[in-house]
Amino acid sequence: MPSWSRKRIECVILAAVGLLAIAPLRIKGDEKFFVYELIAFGLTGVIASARNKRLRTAGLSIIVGAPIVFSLLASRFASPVAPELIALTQFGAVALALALGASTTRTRSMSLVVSGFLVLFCAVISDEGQAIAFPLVWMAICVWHLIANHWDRLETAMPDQVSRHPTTRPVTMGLALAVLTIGGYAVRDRFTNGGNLSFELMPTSGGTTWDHSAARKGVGSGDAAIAAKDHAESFGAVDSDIFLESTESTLFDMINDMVGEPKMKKQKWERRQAMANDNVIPMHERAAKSEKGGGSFSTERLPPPKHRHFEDAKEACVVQWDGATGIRLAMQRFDAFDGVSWIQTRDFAEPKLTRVIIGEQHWFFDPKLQSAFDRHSKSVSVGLLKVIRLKSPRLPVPMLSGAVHVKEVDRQDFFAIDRDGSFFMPERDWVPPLTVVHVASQSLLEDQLRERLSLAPKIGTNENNSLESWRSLAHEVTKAFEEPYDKLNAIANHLREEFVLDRSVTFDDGSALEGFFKSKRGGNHLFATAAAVMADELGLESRLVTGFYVRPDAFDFAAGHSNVLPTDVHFWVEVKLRDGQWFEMEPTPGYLPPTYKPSWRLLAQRMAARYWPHAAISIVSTGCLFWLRRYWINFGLTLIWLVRGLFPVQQRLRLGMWIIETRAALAGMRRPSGTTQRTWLEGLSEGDGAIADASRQFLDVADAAFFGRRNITLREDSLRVVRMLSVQTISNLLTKVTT
Amino acid sequence: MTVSLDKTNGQVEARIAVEHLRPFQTHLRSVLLGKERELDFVIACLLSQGHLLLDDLPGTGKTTLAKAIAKGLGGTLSRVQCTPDLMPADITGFSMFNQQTREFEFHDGPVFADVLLADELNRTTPRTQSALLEAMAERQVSVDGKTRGLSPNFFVIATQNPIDSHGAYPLPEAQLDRFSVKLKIGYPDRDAQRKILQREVLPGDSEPSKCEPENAVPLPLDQLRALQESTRKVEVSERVVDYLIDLVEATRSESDVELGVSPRGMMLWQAIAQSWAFMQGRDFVTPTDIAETAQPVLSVRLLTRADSVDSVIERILASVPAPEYK
Repeated sequence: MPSWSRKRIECVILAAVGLLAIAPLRIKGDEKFFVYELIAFGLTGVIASARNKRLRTAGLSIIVGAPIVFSLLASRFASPVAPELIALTQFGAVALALALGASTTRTRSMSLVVSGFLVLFCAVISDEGQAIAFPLVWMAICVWHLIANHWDRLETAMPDQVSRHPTTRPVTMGLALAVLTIGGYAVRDRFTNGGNLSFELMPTSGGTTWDHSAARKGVGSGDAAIAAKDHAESFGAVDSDIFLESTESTLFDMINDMVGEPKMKKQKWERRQAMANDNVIPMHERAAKSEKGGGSFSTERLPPPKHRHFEDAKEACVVQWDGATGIRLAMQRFDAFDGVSWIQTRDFAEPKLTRVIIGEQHWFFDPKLQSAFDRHSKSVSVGLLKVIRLKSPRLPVPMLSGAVHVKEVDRQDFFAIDRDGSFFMPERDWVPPLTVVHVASQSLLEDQLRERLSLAPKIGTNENNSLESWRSLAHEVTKAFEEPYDKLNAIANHLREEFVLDRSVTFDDGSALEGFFKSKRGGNHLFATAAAVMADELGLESRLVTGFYVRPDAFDFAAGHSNVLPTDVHFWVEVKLRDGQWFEMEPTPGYLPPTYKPSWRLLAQRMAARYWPHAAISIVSTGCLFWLRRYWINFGLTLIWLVRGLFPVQQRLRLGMWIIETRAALAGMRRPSGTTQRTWLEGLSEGDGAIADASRQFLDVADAAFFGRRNITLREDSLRVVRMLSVQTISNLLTKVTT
Repeated sequence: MTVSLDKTNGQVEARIAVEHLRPFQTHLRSVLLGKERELDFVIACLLSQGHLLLDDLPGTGKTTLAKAIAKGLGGTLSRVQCTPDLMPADITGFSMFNQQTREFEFHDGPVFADVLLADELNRTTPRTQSALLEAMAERQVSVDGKTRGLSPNFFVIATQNPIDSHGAYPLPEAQLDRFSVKLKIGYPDRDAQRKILQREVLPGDSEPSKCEPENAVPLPLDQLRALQESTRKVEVSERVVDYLIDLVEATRSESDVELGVSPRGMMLWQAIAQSWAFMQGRDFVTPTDIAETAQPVLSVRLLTRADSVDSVIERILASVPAPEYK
C-alpha cells in the first residue's frame, strides 16, 4: 500500500483542488448533486486509502465511476448535467484516483498533469472572475510540492547560498507567487476580450449565462425548438421530403409525441406539419425544391425567405431590445409636479450632437456625457434597439445613454436631444419602423452614487397640502439613515414593501396621491410620483420618467432579443447627482430595481466594518495559536502519548517516533528524509548521556520490531525517551550541539 | 536488554559470536591508534569475505595494518610491491622445469597466502593488475591451463597512493568493482599522535627484544570462517532490501555519476551491511547499516564526473527516503 507520504498527500490535495475548480461551473446548475458527489469522492477517498488491497481497488474504481453514476442520478432526480461537465468531472476523478493509487513518481506526475490541465481549463471556460483563484491556489501548492520534492537536491547543490532555516521554503514560495502576480498583472491587458468564449463553443453553447437551460444542454435544446416552432425558416418545423426519407430522428422529433415510437413510413398526405392557421406564411411553405427530369434528380434547400412586408411580422411588440434585461428604456421625462400633473420646466435640449467616428461607424454623442464616456470607457455597454411600431419620434434608451449609432447613417441632423433630455429624431412624426439603433450607455458603481449624491436645500416651491402626508412619511422612513443614497433606498424599499401595485384602482375625489397614501394601492405612475415627491422633500432633485420596462422573461432565445410589448409601459424616477447626471430608482414592486454594483473596495470596507471584531479576534487568536504552538502541540502530543496503551506494539513505537519527530520539527530540527530515524535520533540525543541511553534502547526495540520481523513484548522502560524528549529538551539539546 | 525475542537464539548467538571478535578488534586498535571506525570497516570487510582497498597518503599505516591483520588471523602474509616491471607470473606463480624429476613444477606466487598485501597497486601495469582479477573474485588462479585453489580466507589488501600520480596506472573499473570497500585511513588525531610517539619511546628498564611479547592468535582462521558463515545468515528484511535497491538505482540515475553500482556491487554492499549488523550484535540488517556502510562501499565503485565522490554519495543518500518505523 502506498504510504501517506508528503508527496502523496500533496498530490491528493492538488487533485482535490482540481475537482473543486469544477464547482463554479457546476454549482449553479445542480448544486445539491455536485455537493453530494464531492462528499462521495471524500468518502471513497478514505476507502481507497485503506490497507486492505481489495477495499483499495474497490475505492479507486468507485472514484473513477462516480461521475457517470452521479450524472445518471442527477438526470433522474434533478436537472441533467451537461456532458462536457461530466467529462471534466471524470478528469478530476481520474486525477484523484491516480494520486491515491500511485506507487511511482511517474503516476503521481500524471495525476499532477491531469489536475493541472483541469484547473486551467476550468478557469479558461468559466464566466466567473473568481474562478482564477483555483489555478492560483493550485499553482501555489504545486510550487510548494516541487520545491519540497527537489529540496534536498537543491540544498546540496547550493550549500553556500542556502541556509537551512524553516522560513526558506515559504520565502521561495512567496517569491514564486510574487512572480506569478506580477506576470499576470503585466499581461492583463492582453485578455480584455477573454471573458466569454463565443456561444458556439462548449460549454457556453446556446446561451449567454450559465443559468440558461439552453446553455447547459448544448445547441438545439427542446426549449429552443419550442421557441422556434413558429418560425418556418428555422429548423423546428421542417418536415420536407428530404427529412422524411431519413430514418434518424430529427430535431423536430424532440417536440413530437411520437418520440421513441418505431418510425413508420408516412402516407403522402401525412407528410405535413400541422401549424396553426394564423402562423402560416404562404411564402414559407416550401423549404426545398426538387427537380426531376431525364436522368437527373436534384434537391436544393431554399434560402430562408425574408420578411418582405412589415405587415407580415406577427410580433405584437413595440420595440425589440438586444441587451441586458430587467432594465428600463426611458422615453420622456418630467421634472415638475404641481400636485396633480407633471410638466417639464427646464431645458436640457441639445440640437446638435457630437459626431465621433469609431471603427468607421458614425456615433452621435450627447456633449454633456461625452467626457464621462471617455473617462470611464470600461463601464460603457452597447445595446441594440429595433423599433417595430413606435408612434413617437423619441428613442427609448436605457439610463445614462450618451451615444447612438444607426448603420450607414452619418447625418448629424437625424438625432438630437429634446428639452427633457431624451434622444429623439427631429422633424419626424415617428422613428421609421425596423430602424436598428445602437445605443451606448454607461453604468454606475454604488461607490460613485454614494460619492456624488448629496442633499441640497429643498428647491420645490410646491406647498400643496395634499402632499404633506408624503413629506412626513419621507422623514419618518429615512430618519434612521445618514447617507443620501441609503435614504433614497429606504424610500424605494418602503414603497416596494408597504404598497401594492394595482392598476385598476381609480381615485375619484381629491388627489390621487392622497388616495394612494390611504389605500396603499395604485398604479406605477403613483409609485413613481410618490417616490419623486419624497426624494424632493429630502432635498434630492428628482424627476418622473416614462418609458418601457424590459421584462427579464421577455428574452426570446431563438430570436436573440427581448420583445417589449405595449403593456410594458412603465413609470419610474430619476435622481440627480452633483455632476448633473441622472440615475434611476425603482419604487414599484414587481419590477427589478437597477443594479449598482459596489466596487471591491466598498465591499471590503463593508466586510471590514461588519466583521472587524471577528477578524481581529481571529487574527489575534491565530497569532496566539501560532506563537504558542510549541506549548499546545506539545501538550496535545503528550495527551496522545497517554493513550498509547490502546495501540498494538508496533503502532506504539511508530507513534512514539512520530511524536519525537513532530516535537523536533517544532523545535526547528526536522529529520531529512534521507537520514534514517536511528541516525537522526542518535545524533539529536548525543549531547545528553541519559537521553542517549534511552534513545538507544528505544531504537533497538524499534529496529527489532520493524526490520527484524519479531513479535516483541515491550517494556515501558524502553519508551521513556518519548517522555524525556519534550520540545524544550530538544531545543536545549540543539543549542548544546550547535555550541 | 529490554527486548524479549521470539527468535532469541539468533540474537544471542550473534551477541556471543561478536565477543569472539573483540580480541581481534582490540589487536587491530592497538596497532592503529584512533581509527576505530575504519578498523571496524576492515573487520566487516573480512567477515563479508570481501577485499579491501586502502587509498591514502604515504606513512599513514597501510602496510602496518596489513601486517597486523595477517598476524591477528595467524595466517600467512605475502606482500607484493607493485612496480611497473612486475609481471603477472610474479603474482600468480609459475611452472619451472625440474631437471631432476624431468617435470614442470609449479612455484606458488604470492597469491597463495591468507592475506595478500599488494602495495601501491596502481604503480603496476594493467596487465599485472588483471592477474589479480580471478584470484579476487573466485579465489583461484589458472596457470598453464590448470586451476589452482587459493586459501578460502584469501583476503587482498591493496593500497594506492592518491598523490604522486606520475607513472601510475589507474585501476580498471572491473578490478575496482571486486573490492568491497575503499578506506581512507587519514591522519590520526592529536591524542592518537601523542600516543604513537610515546609508544616509540622505550621504557628505560625494558629489553628491546621483549617489547613485543608473542600473544596467542586473537582470531584463528577457522574461527573467522565460522563467523563468516554466521554473518551470511544475518536477515535482511524486504523493506531494507528495497531501500538498498533504491539507493543503487539512485547511483545509476544520478547525473554526476558516470558509472553506477553494478549488481555485483549491490551484493557486496548487502554483505558488508550484514557484517556491519553482525558486528553490532544483531542478526538483522537495519536501514542505518545500509546508510552507514554507503560511504566506503560506494567510494570504490562510483565513477563521478565533476564533484568529489563523497559529496555525490551524500547527495544520493539524501535523495532516497530512508524506511521509517511503519
